[in-house]
Amino acid sequence: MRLVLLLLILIGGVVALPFILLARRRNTSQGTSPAEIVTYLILAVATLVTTNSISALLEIVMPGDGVLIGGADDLALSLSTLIVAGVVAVALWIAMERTTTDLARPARELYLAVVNAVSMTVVAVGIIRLLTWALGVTSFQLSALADIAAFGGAWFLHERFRRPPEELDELRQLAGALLGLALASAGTAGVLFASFYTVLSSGQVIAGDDGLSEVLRTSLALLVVGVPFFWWFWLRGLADRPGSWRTGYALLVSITAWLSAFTALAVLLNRIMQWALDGGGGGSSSISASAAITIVAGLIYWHHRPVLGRERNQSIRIVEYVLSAIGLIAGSGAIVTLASILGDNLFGSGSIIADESRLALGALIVLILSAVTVWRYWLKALRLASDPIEANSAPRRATILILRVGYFLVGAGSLIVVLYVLLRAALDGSASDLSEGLTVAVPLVVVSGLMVWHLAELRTKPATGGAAPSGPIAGPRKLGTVTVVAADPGPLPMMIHGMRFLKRGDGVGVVDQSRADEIVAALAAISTSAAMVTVDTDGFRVIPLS
Amino acid sequence: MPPTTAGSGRSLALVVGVVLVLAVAVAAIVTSLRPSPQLDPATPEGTVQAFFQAVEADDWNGVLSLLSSQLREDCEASELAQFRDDVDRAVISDVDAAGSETIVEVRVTRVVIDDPLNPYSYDDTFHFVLAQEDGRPVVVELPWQFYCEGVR
Repeated sequence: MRLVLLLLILIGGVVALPFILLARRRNTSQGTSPAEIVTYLILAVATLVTTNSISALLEIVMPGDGVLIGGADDLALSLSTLIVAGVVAVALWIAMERTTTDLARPARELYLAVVNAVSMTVVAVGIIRLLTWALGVTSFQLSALADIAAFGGAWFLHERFRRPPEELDELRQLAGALLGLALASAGTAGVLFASFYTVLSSGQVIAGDDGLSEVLRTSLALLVVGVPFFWWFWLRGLADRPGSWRTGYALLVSITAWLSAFTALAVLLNRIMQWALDGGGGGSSSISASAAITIVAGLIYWHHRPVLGRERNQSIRIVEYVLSAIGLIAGSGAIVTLASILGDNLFGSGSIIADESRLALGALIVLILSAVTVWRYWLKALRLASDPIEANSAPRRATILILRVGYFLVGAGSLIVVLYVLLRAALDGSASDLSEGLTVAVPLVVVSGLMVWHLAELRTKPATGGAAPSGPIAGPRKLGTVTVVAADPGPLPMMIHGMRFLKRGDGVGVVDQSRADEIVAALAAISTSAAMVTVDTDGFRVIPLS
Repeated sequence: MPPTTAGSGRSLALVVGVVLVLAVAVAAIVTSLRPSPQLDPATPEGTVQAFFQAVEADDWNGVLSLLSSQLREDCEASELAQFRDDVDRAVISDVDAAGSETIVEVRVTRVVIDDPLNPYSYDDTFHFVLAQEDGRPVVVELPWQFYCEGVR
């Protein structure tokens, strides 16, 4: 036994050795190197594997389960993993800490953020499992307690390792905010679902459980855990810290929430229509679920979208162009579906049953929702095309390019199908299968072709009334090099092409959207071809360079 | 082209496009709500159509009445009613005469639209064997999709 343990420790040491040597070679004056990032990521994996092994061991030794006898395999596996991963983690941590200076260490912060994010997630899930047991939904699982103890310890320990200046602290907050949002929104949707289902479902349950009580209790557990996370990491944390992390978070959540609301609303309207057509029988479960998701996703969008700002900035452009693209694609799909149904009904032969009304109504609902989206975002973007900043913005150009390529490929593929069916019919001398092969392919070719033409028009003739300005978008005149000195450049890199960035070591100078707009306007007003911008707590300064 | 002309041309294209899309949507819905042409029930194809119409209406006794006397003895309506799938589209893809029997092949399409943004469909082929009995075509062999314990 001692020999095996010794061997395992030796293996751990051998695995850790190259990274320790790498860490010791690092000069304290060097910045963050790829090797350092890789080393810290390996350290993160080793730490999490070690913590998981501790959790497994705790589960084995905790009273009440009695697994010690007969659990020799699990015990051996957990012990061997703990020894190897533990040696690697401790040795690497000590080696890396020796090289630590007072300067900011992004790789170290990345490690802390990753370990804290994973640990807090496991702890949150563990608490939910305990709560669902306490509320009588699930049976008791010892692993939940073991996970809370082990990963809670790792979280607590790594919180103590944090020290200023922290450049990547927002990553930890972002993970906590996302976790809290996911849990709280799932809990809210569960409560709403149970309420709607109670109202909509007809008939009294006379035997067994309709499951609503379990849904409510599980939702309560999700809310109890999710709301504090959301409040602490978002409302009291990231929401008050303008910068690229907050913008990125709000951007991601806004798009996801809008897409969820769009999909759920389409399902809801379709279900309501089917429900009405079927005389009100059945379907109350899916109506309740889609209504709950629509409301929750709508609320999430309504809360997060204003974080991106009110004036049309780059973040808002990204959101609106993504939503435009979704609307265009969904609308095209709906038109193709309706046209293919029409083609089937007009040209199809031998039909003895044709009841595609459900599909047609579903496509009509999608078409209406898509039309509203296209009208709200895409037509607005087309109207704004006379603005050179809008016309040359990266989100617009990327959206047009991606849509053009996508529609072109779909159209080309469909054209191959059309030609294949026509040639096969011509060579066989029979036209019996024509309608079958063409009712989908022809509408696809037509719609894709029209969309490619529309998008090509936008690219070749932007509505500027003349040639599109080239170069950076920071003004009508082409700028040379712009160097920005700040703690966080925010959206500036997306607004100034080829911008250089020098990060302030004192953490001062966070650029939010309104500040970025002011900087771009100030840069457009200077006469030199290059400039330096310094951002402070109370404003910014543009220094023209010759 | 002057900007005003270009602008009005674009508006016209938009209006025409919207009208065209609306026309396609309305036509698709109207034609999809229209009943299929009724085939002559004295033909094998008409019998198969009546069979599917009875299935769609959950009229299992009506389905039984389209079977041969032997099948009516072997099958019960409750057994046939185990067929629960919706038939969204049924198309006669082939009709073959084999002696005194006629084989009718039907391609059935079912559409699943739990999510209207992502509907999908799948096809299935049904083989009916029909023969004349009492001066009318009846089903003497059911497709495998319909289960009767007495037959198998």
